[in-house]
Amino acid sequence: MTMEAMETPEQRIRTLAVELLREGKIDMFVGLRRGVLPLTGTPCFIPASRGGAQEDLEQAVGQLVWGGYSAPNLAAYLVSFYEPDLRLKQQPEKPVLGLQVRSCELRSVYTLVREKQVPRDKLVLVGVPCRGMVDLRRLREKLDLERVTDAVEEPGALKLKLPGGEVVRLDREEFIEDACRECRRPSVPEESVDFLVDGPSRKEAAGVYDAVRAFEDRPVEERWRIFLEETSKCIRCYACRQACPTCYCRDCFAEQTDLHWIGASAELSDIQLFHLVRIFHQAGRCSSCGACARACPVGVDLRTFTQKIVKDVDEFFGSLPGFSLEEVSPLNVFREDDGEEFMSEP
Amino acid sequence: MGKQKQQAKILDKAKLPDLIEALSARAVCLGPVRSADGPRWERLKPSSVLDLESVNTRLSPKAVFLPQREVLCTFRGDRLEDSPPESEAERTVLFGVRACDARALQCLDLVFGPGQSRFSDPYYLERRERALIITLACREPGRACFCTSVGGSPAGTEGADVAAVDLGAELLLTAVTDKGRDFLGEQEALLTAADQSHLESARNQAERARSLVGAVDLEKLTETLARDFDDPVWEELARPCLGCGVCAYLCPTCHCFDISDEVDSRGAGVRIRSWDCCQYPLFTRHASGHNPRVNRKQRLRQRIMHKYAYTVENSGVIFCVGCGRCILNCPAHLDIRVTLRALQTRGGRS
Amino acid sequence: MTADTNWQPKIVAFLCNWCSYAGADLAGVSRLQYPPNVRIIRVPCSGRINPLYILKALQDGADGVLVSGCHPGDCHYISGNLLARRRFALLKSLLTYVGIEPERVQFAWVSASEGGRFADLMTKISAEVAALGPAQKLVKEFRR
Repeated sequence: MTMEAMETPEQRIRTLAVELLREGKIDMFVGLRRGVLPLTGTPCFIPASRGGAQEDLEQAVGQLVWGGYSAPNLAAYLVSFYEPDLRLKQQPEKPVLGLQVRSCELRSVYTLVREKQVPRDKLVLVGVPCRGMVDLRRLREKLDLERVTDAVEEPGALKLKLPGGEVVRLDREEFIEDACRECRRPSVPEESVDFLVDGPSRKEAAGVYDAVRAFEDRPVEERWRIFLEETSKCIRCYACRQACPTCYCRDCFAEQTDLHWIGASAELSDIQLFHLVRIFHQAGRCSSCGACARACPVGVDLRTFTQKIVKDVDEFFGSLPGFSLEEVSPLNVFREDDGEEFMSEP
Repeated sequence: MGKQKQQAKILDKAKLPDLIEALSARAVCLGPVRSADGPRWERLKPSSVLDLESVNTRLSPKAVFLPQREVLCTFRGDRLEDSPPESEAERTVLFGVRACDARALQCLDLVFGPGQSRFSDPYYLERRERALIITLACREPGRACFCTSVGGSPAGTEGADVAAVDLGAELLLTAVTDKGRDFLGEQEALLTAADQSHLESARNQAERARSLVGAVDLEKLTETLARDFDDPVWEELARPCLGCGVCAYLCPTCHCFDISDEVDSRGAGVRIRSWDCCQYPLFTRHASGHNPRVNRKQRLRQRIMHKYAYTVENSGVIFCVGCGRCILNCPAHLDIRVTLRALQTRGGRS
Repeated sequence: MTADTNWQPKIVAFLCNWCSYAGADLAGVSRLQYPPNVRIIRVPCSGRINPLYILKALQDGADGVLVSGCHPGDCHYISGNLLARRRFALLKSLLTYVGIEPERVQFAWVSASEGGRFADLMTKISAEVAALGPAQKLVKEFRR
């Protein structure tokens, strides 16, 4: 058995990262490291030049982790590396980034590349397997997460340590995010990345749109009641928008004032328009990563609504954001036989 | 000691619904109500299930005094109309405010007046005047709590009118202000006298809780912040930040706001105040398009400087009470304790 | 609100200049009767319609919104309506999904020569919206 075959995904990521950095192939590696709180992951940015010795790089790369850590979609950080600085006449050379990406993050990356926000040739993509992300909100319903002192993730279990030494063992699968449970493509296709890390991924989910269909089947007044209930929680913090990798407009419609589309506050109708339009703007672009719902501090059930547009674009136009540079946005094209059932006749 | 005993009363927890009923008659009564996602500040009914065990609510009670959306005035065309009617309630009673959140209100008082500021905010002050704050001492801190490092403590009574301590089957209620004393007087029928053992229990609980709070060393912070404004470490620290606004919205001392006008198609409208956040790119964008804080590094630095340096300069107080909400709710899992430590250890190395 | 027996629905109609607006004009010139509840807004093309126009109309108290353009293949700008068709399909589906009554937001193709069709369409939509009563769901309370 070779050294490579014995490496865990985490070790392989670290090996790749240190190689790419040392060989000067990238200016910075973007990955995840453990957050302070148990089961959280926080983005880790490792520049190639650390002005120090070899060990510095090894140590930095040693922080990188792979697992079900609850973390943001790393693609959300890309646009800021490549957007032009409008104050400068001459733009500085843009960095080459090594990026550790799960399947959903990779789909977001490809959408950004197709939309010319991020150059593909400046990215070294390290695809990683994914067994799903731990749902902290669900865990919090089960126990007082704030008192958990440490947590260990195993293939089938979560082991949480409480003060006093008690260990609670939970079934991992029970606490996986809905977005991951419903993931139709948890594995990264080899040809879509520069390096593919071997390892266990979830199986593709069946019945990906079941939740949406279930909601569709509810009576109209119940659907409105639920939409009302969820949007009433919103405090217009914009965490959903900021966490979303494909929400990158410099001047978001929600904050425009020269055409004042919606107000700035948590007025209910404005909140509803914000979400409806943001979801509409994700048509053909949402990678179903769940980062928006994960980011929401007040637990608005965004996915029931975001996945509706994903389903519609898929079913009406046969389009899902994928791993190809040649895909065209479904709203930039049309077919002669696009459906008209929704239209009115006198 | 004797004076303390006079001001200290006992409420049997079984009588809480009665207390809520009595209060609800003439006041808007708010408290942390149990929910699947943790306690939430809600209007209390006698049937409400209070959550007195969880560490803290997700949203701080600052929204009671500085609402997310507040109508400042209404107008029709170019004619200003009467101010919106004030609330009918005589009083707002907040039951179960944690010590950190009560201290935070005192920080907000510094901003909105009266006292140090030349300008008083009548909207905020009116709500403050009407409010009665009943704090609830923490028995066990959470993993993200660090109140003791910023001048607070789990059983602290700064900002309280009445301080409550959970002794199991009973609550020990102690008046802290005259308002609190009057309140306890009003509820006399439901209360019994406290004795030495109650006070002793409360003291022990406070000591224990205090010893459990995680400490953050902030000794070198002032010096670091004063000196290292241009240190490249800020760039590193700001990278994981998404600029999402959760930290500021949930922070009990953050108070920045935006004022905007909303007009309907008939020319009638409102001027509203709503929460704003220094992490948003638009926060400092000028009408010309120039933005003095155009990137994340500048904005993150601003947040830290404002809370830990500028407010100290202006009023001698750190605008952070160590409640830990920013740590618990940051989608990128940034930890302000890590940030502060990194600044102090890194300081001057460049 | 609903106690007002004099209530008449207010319908906002975004009509494309080249076809639907001309069609509406033809209805008028031909003295064809249709309910006077509609406020027409002329746009260059149905492809110009930003979903926010429809939503803001609802927010500001419109009881119903109609968007009408040229028949596919007849667009003055060649493909404006064809691109719009996809947008409208998604928007209608999303709004219905969250519980907005489907009759409140409607889309149609009306050509410049279809004065009668426009009148019939308006009559039908007006009746459908009237049956639903005043819109409440997305209405913004501007003064609270």
